[in-house]
Amino acid sequence: MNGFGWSFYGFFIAAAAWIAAYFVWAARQR
Amino acid sequence: MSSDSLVFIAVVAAYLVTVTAIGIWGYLHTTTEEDFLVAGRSIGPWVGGCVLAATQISAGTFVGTLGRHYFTGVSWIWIWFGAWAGWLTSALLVAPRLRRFGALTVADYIGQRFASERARTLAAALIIVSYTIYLTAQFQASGEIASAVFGVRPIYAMVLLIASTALYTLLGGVRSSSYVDFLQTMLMMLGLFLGVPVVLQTFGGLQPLGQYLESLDPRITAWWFSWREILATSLAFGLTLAAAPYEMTRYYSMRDVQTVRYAIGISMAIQAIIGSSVMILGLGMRGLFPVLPSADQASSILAASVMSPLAGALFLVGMMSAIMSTVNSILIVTAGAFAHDLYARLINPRASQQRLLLVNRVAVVVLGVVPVWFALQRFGDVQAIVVEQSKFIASFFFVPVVIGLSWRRGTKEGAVAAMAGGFAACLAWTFTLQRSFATHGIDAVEVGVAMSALLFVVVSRLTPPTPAANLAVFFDGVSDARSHHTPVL
Repeated sequence: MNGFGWSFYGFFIAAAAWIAAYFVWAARQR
Repeated sequence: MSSDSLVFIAVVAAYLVTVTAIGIWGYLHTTTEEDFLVAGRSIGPWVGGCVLAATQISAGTFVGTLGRHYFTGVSWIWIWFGAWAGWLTSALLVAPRLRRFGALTVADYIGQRFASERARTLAAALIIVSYTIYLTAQFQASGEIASAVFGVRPIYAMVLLIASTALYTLLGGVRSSSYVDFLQTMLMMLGLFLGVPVVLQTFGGLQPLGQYLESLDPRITAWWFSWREILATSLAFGLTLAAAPYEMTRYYSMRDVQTVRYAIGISMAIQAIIGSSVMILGLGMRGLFPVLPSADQASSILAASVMSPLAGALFLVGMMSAIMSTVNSILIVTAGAFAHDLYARLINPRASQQRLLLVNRVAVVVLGVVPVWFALQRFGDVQAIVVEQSKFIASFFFVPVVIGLSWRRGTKEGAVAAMAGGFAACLAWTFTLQRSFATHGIDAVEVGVAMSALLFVVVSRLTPPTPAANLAVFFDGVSDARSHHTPVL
């Protein structure tokens, strides 16, 4: 019994990466 | 009356007094239709980000999404990436060109981009009809929550909710609504943050909860849905959010294009926080009450039976905030469509600013009251109405907005064909092949948007191009003089 797997933890990693990448892109716009 | 009821009444009363005070403040700063519909283009990135998130987060999230996590577990959370793909499309292709154009409504964009009053009128009419259906779902949800938690008749909750929302919206328009949306976003997050530790403590932490849920059904903690199902549903959400009129209208109210970009990013971060909190609450409720008769009851039972009276009251105010912040955005977009795009164009083109403000305010009340009758008839369940109407909106707006802003050759005939054809295709699929979605995996919104795109390209190719003067503001980087922010604070 391991409980939550990467469908759970993976979301937090992917969401943080998505939002960070978005702000990097937005900051580089005019 | 019990002390629990008194706590709840005190919290709700404090909330309603605060939003009304913000409404009065907005009223004192609203003298023109531009103030009412776009807040003098004064909204910054933080308030703007909360506005976009609060508009999207509705009864569907607190009741339907929480219930979905309750029943199916973790994997529904990945649907958020579909929503964010829609927001990214909007940030890349829609927001900059739309914001540069100094309009007040989405139908303004349709009228200018396609040089057609007929397309503008069709867009305004479709917005009013489909969002009236959406309001029906929000009112129905408020009635259901009130009757589940307090045993009161749904009509009382609906009247309280619409009276309060219509009051602050008609007083201060977008200016009041934006700051109320900011407050409502904070209350939604507060309610969720108060709930998460309560359910986790009951199990002694996240990992024991996961182990217990895994013992109930391993799919709850892993993958209930296949990647194909997640992608199909995500696509539907993304198509809907890339060109949602009640969100696009708010771009016009922000200071400039860069403010809109940052607001979209802040909105996605808020959605991630709210989405993951809703997931943990849904999972926790499954652990606490493994066999509820309906998954949609999970959030009401959480507030009424699991949390302390004060925390439960704040959670319920968070739910009210989710509903009211969506309702106020809809009232602004439908009132604007009526007053600015139908009344001022077709009925009384010489109307003064005072007259237009009055018509906007009367429209807020009328368009707010009409859906109450529909809500009392209960034509369908809340989540189904929310999902269906958003598919129709995507089917007629995605193509004229997203492709219309990227392809100069699109024409007014193409736009009208795209809107009408997309709507008809979505409708036809909904009542026929949607039933066998499990076998083909093709959703009505994908069919609607595909048909809309096909008609847009083919009909546009066969008809004369749009005059260059109409296109300059969208394609040649020329800012409209009306698009600048007018400070009033």
